[in-house]
Amino acid sequence: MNQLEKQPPGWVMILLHIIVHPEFHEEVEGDLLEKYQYNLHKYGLKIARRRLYTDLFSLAKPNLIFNINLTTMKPASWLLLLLILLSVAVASIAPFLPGSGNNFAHGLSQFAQTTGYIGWVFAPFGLLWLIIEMRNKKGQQLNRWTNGYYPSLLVLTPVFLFLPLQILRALIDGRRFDLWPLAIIFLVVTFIIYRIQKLKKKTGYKFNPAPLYVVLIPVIALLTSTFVVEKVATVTREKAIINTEPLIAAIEKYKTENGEYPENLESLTGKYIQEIPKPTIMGMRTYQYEKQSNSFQLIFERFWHWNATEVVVYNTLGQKGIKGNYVNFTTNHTNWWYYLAD
Amino acid sequence: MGEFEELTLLIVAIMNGKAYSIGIIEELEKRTGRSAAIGGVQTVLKRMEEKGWVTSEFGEATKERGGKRKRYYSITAKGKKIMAENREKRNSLWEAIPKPGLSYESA
Repeated sequence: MNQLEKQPPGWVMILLHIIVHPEFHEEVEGDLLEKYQYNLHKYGLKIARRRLYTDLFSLAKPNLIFNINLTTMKPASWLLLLLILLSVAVASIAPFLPGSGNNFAHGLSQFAQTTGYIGWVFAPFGLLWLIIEMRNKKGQQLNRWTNGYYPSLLVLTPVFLFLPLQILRALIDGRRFDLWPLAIIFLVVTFIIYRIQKLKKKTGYKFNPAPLYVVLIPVIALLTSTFVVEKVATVTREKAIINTEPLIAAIEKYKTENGEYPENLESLTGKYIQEIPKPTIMGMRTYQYEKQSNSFQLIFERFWHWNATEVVVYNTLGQKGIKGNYVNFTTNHTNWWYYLAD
Repeated sequence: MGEFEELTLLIVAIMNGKAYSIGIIEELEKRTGRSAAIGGVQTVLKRMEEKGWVTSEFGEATKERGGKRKRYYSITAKGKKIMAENREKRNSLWEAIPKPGLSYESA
């Protein structure tokens, strides 16, 4: 056995210093070395190494990594965190929820879903901040790194670059309704700046939950847009399609009596239908009607995610006449189909 | 109190001021045949220290530890009280088991 093999591999000690809280380094490093030496002499290199890796893996425990119990966070702070995470999830699926059609839901969802993607730029800085915050200890004198001042600035810098760009984009595209959620975020950021100024003066230990938000909000937004949006969208699409049944019946009745399809939906009101039904989904305002030579189309569009709009079409002849390279999807209803447009 | 926590606290009490993590692992294996990883024992020791059941202080550094000091753990009065309460609970459970030949069912 050479001299090198008598010592554990260097990377194990490096990992140990990364995983374990600095306060426990001396004790745990000594333990690992002592046990390694014992196993080396008793069982040989192979088993000693294997047990060393098992011991290293066993150190990945919250109270050895952070030396803090998250129960130091007040119940009210946990509740607020939960409420905000829930709001992000609900905002993501807002256009797919039952309710009267409005553009606010669309803007809100776009923002929440975009956060899911863009948030990953901030999340690593948030994680760094969280680790620093959790490694602080009672009685420790804090500096501008450990009190969260510099980490919070690191997180906010991309936000400041991203927000004006989003506002500019919304203005150029004429999406005035997108400005509401952005305005709310702007107010939140202003409040955060005020809180950061307070952080600058913080010298004593007190757990700050802010980095938890930076890490968890993108996770929740991404999980919702990946796993929930599609399911909710399917359910509400079905609902919106079923809502059109009396409308389609009225159009067909009009044709039977008049020999042709109506020019517009307004021609139906009164005699054929009391009022034109609404989709009753927050992300959809009305059904659009298109008369064709010997058929008609009913269409509704809605925001799907930040990069696509869903267009759901009813065609009496079952024709799928969309120009461009879109993939068509069928539904459970005859002559109804949809596609995603960018 | 979990089973592993109870065993560790008992070993700390048995070792009477000379308990440190590797020593506890060896003693645990010797007395119960149960093997434990460093992370498992360290986690329990830190948790018990937080609860005030044990106290700790640095001891001597040795060559096989690469010059790093050991941390010795001792049981506190609070820890002894918890242990006694635990023992009492277990004893009362043992006492509650019907004794063959004495219970009315077997009479």
